[in-house]
Amino acid sequence: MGNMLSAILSQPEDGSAPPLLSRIVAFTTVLLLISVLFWFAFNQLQYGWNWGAVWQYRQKFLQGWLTTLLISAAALCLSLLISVFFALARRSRLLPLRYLSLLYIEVVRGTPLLVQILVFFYVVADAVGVSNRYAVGILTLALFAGAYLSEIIRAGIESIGESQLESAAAIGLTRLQTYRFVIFPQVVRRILPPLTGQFASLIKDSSLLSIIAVSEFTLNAQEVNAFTFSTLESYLPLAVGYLLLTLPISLFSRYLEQKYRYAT
Amino acid sequence: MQLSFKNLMKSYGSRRVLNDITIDLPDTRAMAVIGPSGGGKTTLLRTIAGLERPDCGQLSIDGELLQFDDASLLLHRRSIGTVFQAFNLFPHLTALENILLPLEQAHGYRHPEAMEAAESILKRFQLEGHADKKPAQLSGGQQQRIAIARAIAIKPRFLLFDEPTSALDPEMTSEVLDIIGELRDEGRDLLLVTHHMGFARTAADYCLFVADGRIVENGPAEQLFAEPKSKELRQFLGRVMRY
Repeated sequence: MGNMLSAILSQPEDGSAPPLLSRIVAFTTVLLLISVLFWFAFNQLQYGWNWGAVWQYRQKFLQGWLTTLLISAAALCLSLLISVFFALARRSRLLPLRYLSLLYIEVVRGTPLLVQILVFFYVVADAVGVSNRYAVGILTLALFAGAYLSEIIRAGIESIGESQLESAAAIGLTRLQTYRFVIFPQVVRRILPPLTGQFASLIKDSSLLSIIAVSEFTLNAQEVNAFTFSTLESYLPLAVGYLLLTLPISLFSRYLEQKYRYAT
Repeated sequence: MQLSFKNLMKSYGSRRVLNDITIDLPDTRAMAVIGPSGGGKTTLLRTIAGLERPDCGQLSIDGELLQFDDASLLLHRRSIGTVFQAFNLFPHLTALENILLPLEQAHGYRHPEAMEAAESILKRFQLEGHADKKPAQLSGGQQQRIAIARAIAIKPRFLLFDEPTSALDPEMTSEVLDIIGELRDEGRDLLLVTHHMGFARTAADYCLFVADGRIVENGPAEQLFAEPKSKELRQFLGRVMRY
């Protein structure tokens, strides 16, 4: 038992990757096992599959998927800007900025996204006269993800040792130059894994915008289900569609991690 | 380099690390600062480096009063070279890039000029083969030599060394002390906080003994070691010379 555990937890000492062939064999085995499990489960199901009914609505799926892609991409860029601002504000010398950042992070992380969407759309956006549900959706999503991202970024900044900041000061860099040349390049490398995890969450969280009738992927799948009564046929493509968005992000992050690898 | 302190004080919380230092030191080339750990040596060096603001008091370097506002401190730090105990190279940059960064960003060198300056210094220190390595791929002694190269590349008014060899094994220590000795022979002004009494005695022409936040004794290095006057210094030398 102890041996098995240590075999699971141990890594090759030289840090080298196992040979290609064993990697392929191991991966196929795992994939096969999981497929068999699901194949068995679906086989037990007494279900009259009707893919034909859903196929008629393929255009609707595609449209929803593209909408989700665009909304997510816009929210992602916006959330990055928001999160960098609040991460820096959190460390600012100006107390009001620091408290604003603290309040924003705690409120947004502590309340359900569903409530935030409703409040933003029906109360805040209404009050300032914005009626475009897509704009409100993107903004809400960006603010939501921004709170999590800013904490990731702040943790990254704080992980840069005091001695490096001292060194930056000693060679005569300004505060701004220290961030640009010393802190951010290292922070980006360190926070890539949690950052991409957060991006994947953002894409999936965009499904909640369906409650303010943003015609994205999930809402369209729900509608197809309502028209055809083919529940699984409507929702399984949904899962595949989201994977198509999140997997490339994960792979890209792996690639960047490899590229910027250096020992500390 | 000529240093004058007037009522210099610094506390961390309730602990007083610089305790009302007032002294006019003679103009010296190579000055060593010795003393027990926690006595205030490093804080004194960091104040001279412009990395630490005293709670009160004044510090003049070569007759010039140091101002402690952000802008003046930045200019001051750009004019000197500081080398730390833990090397403090940037781990995401290569050895060459570590030297280029201050030249290009803090001193306005164009890239070709900066390259020329950095490469000639690397060559001088026989480090040109390591230019493209990251700090983690270099030995402690090599890292510290890169840090010294970075400090002198900017043509500083003087150099400050904060226990530059205390993180190194004996062989690497001599490698680094050799370079510091060479820089002194070139006539560069330097101030060195060190635990190497032998090096302080031979390489420095002036020596400060700092303990309990005060400069307890000062004088030409040879004289300070040969005839210590204060009880504190006699006890200190007795302790560190025992082995």
